Amino acid sequence: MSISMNSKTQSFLEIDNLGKQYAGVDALKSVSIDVEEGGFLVLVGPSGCGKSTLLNMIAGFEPATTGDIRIAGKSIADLHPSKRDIAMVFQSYALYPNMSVAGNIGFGMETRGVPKAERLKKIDEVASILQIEPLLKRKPAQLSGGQRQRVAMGRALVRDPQAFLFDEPLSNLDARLRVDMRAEIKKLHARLGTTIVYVTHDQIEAMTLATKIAVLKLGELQQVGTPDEIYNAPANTFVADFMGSPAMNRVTGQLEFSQGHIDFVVGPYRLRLHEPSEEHREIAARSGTVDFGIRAENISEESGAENTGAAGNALSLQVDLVEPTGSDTFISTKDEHAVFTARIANHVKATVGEKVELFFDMSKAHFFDSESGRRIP
Amino acid sequence: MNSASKLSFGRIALYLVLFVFAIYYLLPLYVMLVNSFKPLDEIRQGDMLALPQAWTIAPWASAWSTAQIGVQATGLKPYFMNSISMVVPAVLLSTLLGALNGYVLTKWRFKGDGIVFGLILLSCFIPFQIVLIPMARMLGILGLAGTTSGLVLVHLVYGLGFTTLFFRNYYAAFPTELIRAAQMDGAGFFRIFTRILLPSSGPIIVVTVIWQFTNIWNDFLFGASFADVDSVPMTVALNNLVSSSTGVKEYNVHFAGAILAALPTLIVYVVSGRYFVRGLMAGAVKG
Ligand SMILES: Nc1ncnc2c1ncn2[C@@H]1O[C@H](COP(=O)(O)OP(=O)(O)O)[C@@H](O)[C@H]1O
Ligand SMILES: [Mg+2]
Repeated sequence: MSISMNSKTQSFLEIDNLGKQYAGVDALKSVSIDVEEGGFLVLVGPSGCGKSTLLNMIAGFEPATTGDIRIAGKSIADLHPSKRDIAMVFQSYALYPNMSVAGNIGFGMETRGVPKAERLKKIDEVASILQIEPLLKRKPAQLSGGQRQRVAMGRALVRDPQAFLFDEPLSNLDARLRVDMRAEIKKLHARLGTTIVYVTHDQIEAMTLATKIAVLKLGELQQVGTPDEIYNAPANTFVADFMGSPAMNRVTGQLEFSQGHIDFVVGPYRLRLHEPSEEHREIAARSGTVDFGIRAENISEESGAENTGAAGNALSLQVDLVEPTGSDTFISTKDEHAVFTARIANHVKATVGEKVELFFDMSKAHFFDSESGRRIP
Repeated sequence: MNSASKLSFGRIALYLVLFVFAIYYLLPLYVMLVNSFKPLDEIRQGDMLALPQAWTIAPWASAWSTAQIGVQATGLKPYFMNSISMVVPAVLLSTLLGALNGYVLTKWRFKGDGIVFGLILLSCFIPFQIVLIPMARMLGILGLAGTTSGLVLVHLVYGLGFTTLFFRNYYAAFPTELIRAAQMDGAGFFRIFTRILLPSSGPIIVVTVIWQFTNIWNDFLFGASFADVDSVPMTVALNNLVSSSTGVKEYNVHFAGAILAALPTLIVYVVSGRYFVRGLMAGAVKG
């Protein structure tokens, strides 16, 4: 990369209050995201939340209604897609059906008038990186899904651009290939160090690839942060529900003072807060209602080291469903007050209809405003 | 399962019906062919279905180069050439322009493009008779009255509605991501058209060419209305041949002439029909 940066933390790709309306309807509402040079930004959210719209605006296919996009400090919002020095891998791969693999990879250089010898050299380079040399003479129709994916990446790679855009690149592959290609994209990013913006609706892809995740819902940015922040400190219930599988357990109840501590109370159950904040105390002072959230892996059948000393973190609950996955077993409990899913070791036997003692790691508990869904820090 | 057991009663009945229909359609062609190789007196003897006793190609030679057409004894040859020099540019231009229209209407959308397409489409439904007089006036103003160029223009304008419709529908299903990929690769309007879109348009080009060629070649009304002596197309000449014979009706010559007039469309069907099927097969293999 030829651009030198003043400082490491300076953002490279700046999405600045970007908005998009289609016929007066907001597809994207004033979104701002900064990506550092060499960063891997993943845009994630349910279908129709505006991910492709945002990506197409970065690529230059859709004009922005409001806001600006900058790369290395320079606005690219008014540039033609071919002038932005950005390459894109499309969801459908979009390989030119009448051209060979080599023709596909070389088409951009051809239109820019790169001499043939140089073109062939670069095509060979890229083909060797992606291990598609034996395919260069074939037509896209003669390739498998995974091979097409590689060629589409080759076409982007050969440009040596300032940033790559990926629009759900793995969604057309079968599960096994998806995992393999995911790993390859991650390795490729580590090797090239080029900034990437990647769209997916798959939260596992987002977690594994990203240096930064942006969660969108109905065109509105919900949270931007590292995978760790998104997972461990979701900004609201939408993010909490969307990231992680199985979805985070959530129960509505009250915060109450109890012997100098603060307890989350629902029906007969009480769970003691680990390190309550000032805001927790304020709510407890008026016995306010909150949403309590905890992930399945933070509920277990044994009181681990992290739970020792914390009283009031165990509940006796009735098993409703047992789902062994091989490595772990998920058990769901259900009664009129609360539904929980816990991840327990696979050797523990649980029986539907019986009661089990489950321990809640309250240091991993989340609390949300029960009306707005906002995280209560 | 062996094939004998498939020959049920229903199947036999089906084949029988198909056979009868095939005969029904092929019989006129057979009659024309057979009688075009007979001397005239053999036809007068009455058996239209019999094979010629004395084969002769004289009727064909006459129809092609010496028969009386209107007032001149030129045969159909010059009119065949008139038709060719009208049909070829008209088909090529209307196909190309239809492709461009379809491309713009699907991939370079603009405000009001739907209305434009609606208006173009409307032109498909205007009956020929309505445009005759305004068209004659237009050709007069443009100085193209009675010329082959004038006929090309008429057929081009009239065919554009259909060719645009064909290509628009075909390109509507063409992935927009491909256009975007090409844009990102730096290709402009015409390069995307010629390098990406046209090479993938084989089947629709063949359909359009067959449609346009058949319609324009077979057109009689525009030819009869707007053509002059040196631009009269084949269909009009054939009519003149059949109606202008003084004295005896030379049926054998008329039959030969009619087949000559139909031959190009037949050839187009046979040649491009095969290509068309091949195009479809290629698409099927692509999956
Ligand atoms: N060309 C368009 N015209 C009108 N509405 C559109 C257009 N493109 C997208 N939208 C709307 O914008 C919203 C976001 O779409 P999109 O960005 O494709 O979502 P995602 O990629 O996250 O599934 C959707 O509600 C969609 O219907
Ligand atoms: Mg999308």
